Amino acid sequence: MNIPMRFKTTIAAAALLAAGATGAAAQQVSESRSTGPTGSVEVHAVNGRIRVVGGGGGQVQVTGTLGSSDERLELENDEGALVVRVVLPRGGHNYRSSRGADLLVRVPSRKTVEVQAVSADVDVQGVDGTTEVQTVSGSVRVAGGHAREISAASRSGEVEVTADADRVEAVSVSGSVRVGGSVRDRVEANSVSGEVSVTASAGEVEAGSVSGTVTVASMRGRAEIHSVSGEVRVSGRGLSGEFQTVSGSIVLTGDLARGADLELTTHSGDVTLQLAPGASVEVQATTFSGDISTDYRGARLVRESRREAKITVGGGDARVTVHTFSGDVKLTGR
Amino acid sequence: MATMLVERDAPSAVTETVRRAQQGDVDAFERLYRENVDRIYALCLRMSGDGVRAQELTQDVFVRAWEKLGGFEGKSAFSTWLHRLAVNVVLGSRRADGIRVGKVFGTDDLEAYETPTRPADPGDRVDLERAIATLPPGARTVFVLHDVEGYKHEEIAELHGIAVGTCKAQLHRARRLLREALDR
Amino acid sequence: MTHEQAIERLDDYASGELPDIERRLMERHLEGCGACRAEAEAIRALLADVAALPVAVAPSADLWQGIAGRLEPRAAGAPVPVEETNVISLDSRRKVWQPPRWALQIAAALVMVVGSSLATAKYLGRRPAGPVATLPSVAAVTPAQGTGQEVEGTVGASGGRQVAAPAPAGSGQMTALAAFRPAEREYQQAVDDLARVLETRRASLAPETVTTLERNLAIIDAAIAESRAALVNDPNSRELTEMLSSTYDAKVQLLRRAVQL
Repeated sequence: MNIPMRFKTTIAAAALLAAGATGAAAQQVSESRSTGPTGSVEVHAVNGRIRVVGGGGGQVQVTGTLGSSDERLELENDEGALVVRVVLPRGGHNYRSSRGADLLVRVPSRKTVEVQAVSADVDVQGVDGTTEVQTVSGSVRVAGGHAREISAASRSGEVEVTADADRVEAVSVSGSVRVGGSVRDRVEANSVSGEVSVTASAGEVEAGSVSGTVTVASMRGRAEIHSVSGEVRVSGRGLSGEFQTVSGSIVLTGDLARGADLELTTHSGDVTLQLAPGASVEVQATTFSGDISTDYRGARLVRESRREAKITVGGGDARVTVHTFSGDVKLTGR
Repeated sequence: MATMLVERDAPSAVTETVRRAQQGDVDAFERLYRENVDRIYALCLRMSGDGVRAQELTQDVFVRAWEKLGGFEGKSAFSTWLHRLAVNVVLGSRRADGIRVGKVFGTDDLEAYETPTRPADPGDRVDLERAIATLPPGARTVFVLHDVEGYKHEEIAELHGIAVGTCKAQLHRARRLLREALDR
Repeated sequence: MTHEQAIERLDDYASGELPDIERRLMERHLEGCGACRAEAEAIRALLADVAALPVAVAPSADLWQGIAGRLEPRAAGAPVPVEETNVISLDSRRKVWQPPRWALQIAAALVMVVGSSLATAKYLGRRPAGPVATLPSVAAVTPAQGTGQEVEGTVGASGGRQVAAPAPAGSGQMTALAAFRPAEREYQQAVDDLARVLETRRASLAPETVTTLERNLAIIDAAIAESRAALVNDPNSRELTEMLSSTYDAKVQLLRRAVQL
């Protein structure tokens, strides 16, 4: 289409005017501050996307765009912490018209990083200092660094942490929670209605949901796993600990090492132990009205009373205690 | 290591009771417990906002105090040392408690997201203790430590591992929410 | 001091934390600014109320029992850690499993009341050689009072002697259910306290979260009802009381998490 020049200019001007009217014109930002290798960096934003990347160098660099022309980027030193803040005007700011800040914050990798956002998605990569992220409805992703302590929380967003850490805490209320990697001391992963999945190899795991499925595939350590109505799925050779649900089923898969010691409690959930061939397990099961049975080749089931039975496989080197009210208990092969 | 809340009492504050407790005398420790439990419980109650939790925390505090008792050198009064230990236990327990969303939000542009707690019947006056209990966790701890217990912003910031500015913002938020809940 | 600057410093001013120079500037500003004066006054009034709060609050129960049992015996002169002034290390955390509090309380009560031969027995469900007095069912609200009233279901209680229920006044081994009842009251109390706080916070939760919580609380309540019904028919079942206790634990845990959301 052949548009005369003057019309093109008018269209361009109209477009600019329109952008200005809604305040939707993005604003480029680029700021940096010299800083030492340690200490902390805090990032505060409302909506959009925040990426924090750890690397070398002696400065903190913030680049990207702000959602609208009435937003402002502030960097300030506050008692030894470098605070990066997206400032919105008081009152009258239309959150919906602004797509929010899209910021890349580069920091020396040993910095402690704390990010707080409302609906922004937060992505932290390669940070080796303590990392703490909180957002209300945005998602949280922390990966690729060697932070010894990581805490990631969201209300409705997804939380995913891949760690090489001592301690990880990952929480969402309605979003899913995933923790992978390696955690030397303790993983805490919790949700209310979201799914929880811990694949990290960890010293200790505390994982729970209220209605979401809880999956723990940790090779070793103690685990405390709980759910009310969500299913609990566990696999882990050297696992010990307690798993509890009220109505959710419990499925234990794989292999149990000598000395593994598990206690499974549920009210009406069914308990299934799916073991590999050659297992050596002793299961002490008690129920009020559920069934206790096994079809595992070579298992011996001894009914000790109307409500109790012991199932022994091999030398009984691993011990599993099961209590149910009405849930069935079954030991089966894979 | 910062030294805070160090009160220079005249001689050492390692009293006879404390010394005996340090040496393993459980009865002596029980005396220390009886003398201090109400104060510690009040702290735990207000910081956690939950009576059941406060009882557990109080017990945890005294168990921890027993474990760490040997390290008490009398540089401050025993009750001060115990109090600081209690704050650490409560803050440490929150980290272990799972859900911490809303702990500390630095920007005050969150006005739109605030939901001040109102009593079911607006005609009722919610008393101050109840209002404190219903504060969001981050604001509540800062408020209790600063306004109720008299800690300084610098101390609280270091305990929480946050910036002083963030701490002040939390205090501001707590005071505002309380005033709204109490209708003034 | 500009109005904006004053607004930012009002909190510090009200707590008396403004450095001298700023305080004087603030006072000068307040002379001419009614809005800031009102705000400062309101904060001061709140702080005055806070100052009037009691310094100490007595817990509703004696917590010593729960502490004494957890104190590791210590030899004099054992190596000691340095006085701590900073946030606790991560190792110092409660063990993953502890006997439930109510179990410790029952044990303590039974040791006090019952003879030494029973004191060595486990605290629940272990019957002594003699007959067992069965206490009124769970549904009963008022215990049997005074004389001339036979406790229902009493079988073979020596010489038809009246048994004052439910206090364990040396009447012999109690049923697991009866032993659990004080703990059940405690659970109920905890549940009530938490539910009340949750009510006030309900508005701050997303509707789907509220729905999830309510749905799962109903699942738990149904499980509790089932266990209790079974227990009434089999009041000596330690297994059932443990199941019931676990379910109560799940309920308290759920409410506790919900309250912190």
